[in-house]
Amino acid sequence: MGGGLAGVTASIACAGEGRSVLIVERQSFLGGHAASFCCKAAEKCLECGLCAAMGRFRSLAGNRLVEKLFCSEVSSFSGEMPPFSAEITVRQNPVDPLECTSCGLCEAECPAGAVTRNHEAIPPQFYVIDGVKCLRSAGESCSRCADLCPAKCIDFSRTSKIVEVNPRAVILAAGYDSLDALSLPQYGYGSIEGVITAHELEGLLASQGELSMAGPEGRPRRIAFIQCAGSRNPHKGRDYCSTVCCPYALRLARMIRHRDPAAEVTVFYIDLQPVGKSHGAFIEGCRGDEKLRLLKALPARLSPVTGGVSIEYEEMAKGTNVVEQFDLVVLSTGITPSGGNHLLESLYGISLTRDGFIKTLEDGSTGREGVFAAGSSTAPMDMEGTIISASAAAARVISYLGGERN
Amino acid sequence: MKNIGVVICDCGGTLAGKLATSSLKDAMAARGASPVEIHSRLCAPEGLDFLKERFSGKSDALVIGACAPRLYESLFRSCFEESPSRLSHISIREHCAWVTADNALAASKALHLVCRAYGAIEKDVPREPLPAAPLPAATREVAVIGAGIAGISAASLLLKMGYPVTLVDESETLPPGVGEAAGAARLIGTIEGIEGQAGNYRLTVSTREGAVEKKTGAMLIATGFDKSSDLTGFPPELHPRILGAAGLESLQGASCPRGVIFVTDIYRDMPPCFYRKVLEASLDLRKKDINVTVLYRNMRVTFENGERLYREAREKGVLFLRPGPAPVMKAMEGGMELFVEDTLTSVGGRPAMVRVAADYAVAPLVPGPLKGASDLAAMAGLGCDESGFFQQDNGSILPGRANRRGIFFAGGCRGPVDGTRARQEGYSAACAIHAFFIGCGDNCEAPAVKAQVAPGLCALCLTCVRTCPHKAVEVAFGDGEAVAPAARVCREACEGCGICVVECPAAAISLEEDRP
Repeated sequence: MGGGLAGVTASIACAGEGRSVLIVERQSFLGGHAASFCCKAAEKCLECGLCAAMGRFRSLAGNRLVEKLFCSEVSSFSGEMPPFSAEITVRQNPVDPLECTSCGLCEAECPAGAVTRNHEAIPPQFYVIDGVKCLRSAGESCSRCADLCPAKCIDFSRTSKIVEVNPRAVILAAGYDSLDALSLPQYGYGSIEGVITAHELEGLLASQGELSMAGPEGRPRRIAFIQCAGSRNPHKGRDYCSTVCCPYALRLARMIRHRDPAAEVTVFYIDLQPVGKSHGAFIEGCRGDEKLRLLKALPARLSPVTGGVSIEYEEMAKGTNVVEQFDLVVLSTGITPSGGNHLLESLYGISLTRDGFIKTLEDGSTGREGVFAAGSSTAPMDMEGTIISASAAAARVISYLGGERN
Repeated sequence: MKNIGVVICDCGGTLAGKLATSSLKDAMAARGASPVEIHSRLCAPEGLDFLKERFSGKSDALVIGACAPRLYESLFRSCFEESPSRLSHISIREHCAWVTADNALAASKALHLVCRAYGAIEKDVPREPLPAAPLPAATREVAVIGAGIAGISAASLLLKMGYPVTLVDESETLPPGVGEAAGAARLIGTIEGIEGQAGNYRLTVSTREGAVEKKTGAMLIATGFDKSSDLTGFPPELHPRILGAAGLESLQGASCPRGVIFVTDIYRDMPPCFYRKVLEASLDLRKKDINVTVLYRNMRVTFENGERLYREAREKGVLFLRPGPAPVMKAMEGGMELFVEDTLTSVGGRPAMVRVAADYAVAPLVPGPLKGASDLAAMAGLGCDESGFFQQDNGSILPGRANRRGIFFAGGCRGPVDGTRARQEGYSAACAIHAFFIGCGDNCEAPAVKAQVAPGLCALCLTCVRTCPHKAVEVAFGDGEAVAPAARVCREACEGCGICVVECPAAAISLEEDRP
C-alpha cells in the first residue's frame, strides 16, 4: 500500500523472490515525496540518498512481477488468515495510461491547469487529469484535451472501478504528510513574500537548478533556514523530532553555498540532529564556511520589509533581541503522520502510536496477522532508514509466507 | 574498423565546461572519428532516439563518453541491432569530472580515455567472448560474525527462510533474545582467515579445539562497536568518581546527596543512543529526588520517544546547561564541583555563571570500532571509513552492503546505532542476503555487464588487481605453456563498475554484457 520509497523497496525485494506484487498508489505516479526532492550534492556527494531512491523507482517501473494501480485506495479489507480479501477503489482518470504518449499537449492546452504528469525520470509516463480542478467538475462541457489528444486516449466516460484482490500479506507504506506551514502563523507563510517551505525550495532547485527569485541580481543573497518548523512542539500535538529536517536543511545550505559563493546562509536551530554517520565531519565542513552560520535561536517573529523578510530572535547568551533581514526564509517543515493513518487503523485493525504513526515491531509486524508496515508511516525517518525499514519488512514477509507461492 | 563514431554526453550541460567537451569533440574529429557528436541527455528518450538515428546502421563502431557504464550501458546497447557492432562506453563523469576539482586534469583524463577507447577499436583489438561456463555453485550457507542484536535478528529471519546459519563469536555468552536464533550452528573463536569469492567463501576460525574451516556463501558482519568513555576535562583526582555509560547501573544503590552530572557532547560529537541512556538514567535518579545536571550542546532526540523523554526530564527538574567555553571541574571534600558559563541564561547581558556540586559524574561515551575490526577488514579485503568503522559500499545507495559481493554489514560495525536500528538493520541484511542468493542482485539496477580481460593484451602489471574495489580480479597463471598468465575477472565478484577498464594501461579490459 503506497508507491513511495518504502513500498517500492519492499516490492522489489518481494518480487525478486518471484512473488506477484501489487502496488496500490493513491496518487497518479510512483515515488511519493521522494519524487519531488532534489539531489543535494555540493562539491561532493552529501549522501542525501535521492539517487538510491530514484534507482529503485526506475528499477521497479520495469519490473513485470509488480503490478501498479494508480489513483487507487483500499476500501475494504477482511480475513483472519491469508489469503485476505481486499477491495481497491480505482478513481477515474480520463487518460488511459497505456495509450498516453506523454506528448504534453493536454497539459499545455488545459484552461484550468488540471493536467499533470509524474516525475520525468520515473516511468511510466502518462498524464492525469485532476477531477477537482477540471472544468467538467463545475458542470462545464470543456473537452479541449480530449479533442486535441493525438493518441485519442482521453475519455471522460471512464468511471471509477472496484478491483478485488486476495493478498497473502499486506505491507502498509503510506508515507507521511508534509507539515502544513499555514498552521504556523508566527512564520507568516502564505502572507509574507519570501517565506517558503523547504519542500518548495527542493522543488525549485530540482526544476530550475538554481534560485532565481527575490534579492539583488535576481538571486537571494541572504537566506535563512528555520529548523523545527512545527516539530518538537507538544502544543501542536507533535511531541517528537522529525529527524530529517536538520540533515536536509544543512545539506541544502551547503549546496546553496556551493552553487552561489556570494550567498550567505543562516540556520536557526534548537539542537542540531545528526546528519548521517559522518556527522562530525559534516558539521566541521559547515563551521569551516564563514558564510554558513549555525545559530542556536528560535525566531520569535517574522515581518515583511521592503525587498525581504525580517526575523526577530533572542540571542540567549546576551538576553537581547536581534532583528536581521533576509531575502529568503526557508521553513524546515517536518514530518507529520499521514492523515490517512486513522483510516488504516480501522480498516486493518491495527494500532497507532501516541504521535499517530503506525505502531510496529522492528520487523514491521503490526500485531494483525499478515499485515506489516514500513517506512515513514511508522516513524519519521530518512531515505536510508526507509530503505532499511522496508527491506526489514520485506524479509519478514518473505519468511512469513515461507515456501508458499500463489 | 573504418567508420568509428564518437558521442559525448555532457549530462545536461554539467560536464561541458569542466571537461571542455567542445575541444574533446574537435580532438576526436581530428583523429578521424566521424561523426563526433555532443548530446546533453543521452539517457533520456530523445537521447536514445538520437543514438538510433545517428549511428544505427551507419557506424561500424561507437565510443560513448558519458556516465558510468553500469548505469546505462545496457540501455545504450539496446539501441543498436547489427551495427555499430562494437560499442565502448567510457565513464567521463564518475571517472573524470567527479573525481577532481581540477578542470584541466579532468578534461585531459577524459580526452585520454576516449582516445584510448577509440584507438583500441581502430586497431581492432580482438575480444574473446566471456566464457560460457556456468558460475560456480554457491554454498547456500550464511556465516553471521558477531552474535549481538543485529546478528541474531538477521540469523532468526535467515533460519526461517531456510538458510543454514552459523553464528561466529569470540564470546561464549550470548545476549538476551538469542532464542530467536535457536537452530543456528555456533563457532566460538576468532577469525584467522577469509578466502574465496562470493558464493564460496572459506572462513578459518581458531576455536579452543583448534582451527576450523567453514564454507559459506555469504557473510554478515555484525560485530558491533566499542563503547569507551572520554575523560577529557575531568582532573585525574576525580577519576574514581567518574562513571562510564556502561557503569550507570552502579548509580542505583549509590548515595548521592549532592547529585550527579552527565557530560554529553561537550568535547566531541555523540550518537543519539547515548542521549537515550542519559535521559532514562536522569529520570530514574529524579524519582529518588537526586539532583541531576546534564551538560550538552545539541540534544539528540531522533530516537523513539526522544523528545518526550527530554521534555519529561525538564519537567521533573533535571537541570540542562549548555556551556560556552569548556566547563571547569574541581574536586572537593567527598565530591566535585563544576563551574560553567551557561549560554541559555543571561545575567546583565552576559551568560550566567553556574556552580553545581555533585557526588558523581558520568563521562561521555566515545563510540569506536572494535579492536579486531581493522584485522577483519584487512583479511576480508573490506574498506573502513576515516573513523575505522566498516565502510559500506557507496554511502547510501546500498545500505548494508560491503564492497565485496556476498559480504554484508548490520548494526554498530558501520557506526554507532541503538538497539532498534541494530535490529532493523539485521532484518534488512537478511533481506539483502536472501536477494543475493536468489540472484536478483542488490535491489538496485543490476547491470548485466562485467569486466573482461583480453588475455593476449594483459601485461600482468597488476593495476587491475590493486584498483578493483570489489577484489574481483585474480591472476590466473595459465595452464603450463598452453595459456600465458593473465589477469582474470571473477564474474561472481565483479560489479561492472568499470574502474579496471579505465585504469588498465594496456587497454586490455573491456566491459561486456554477461552471457552466462
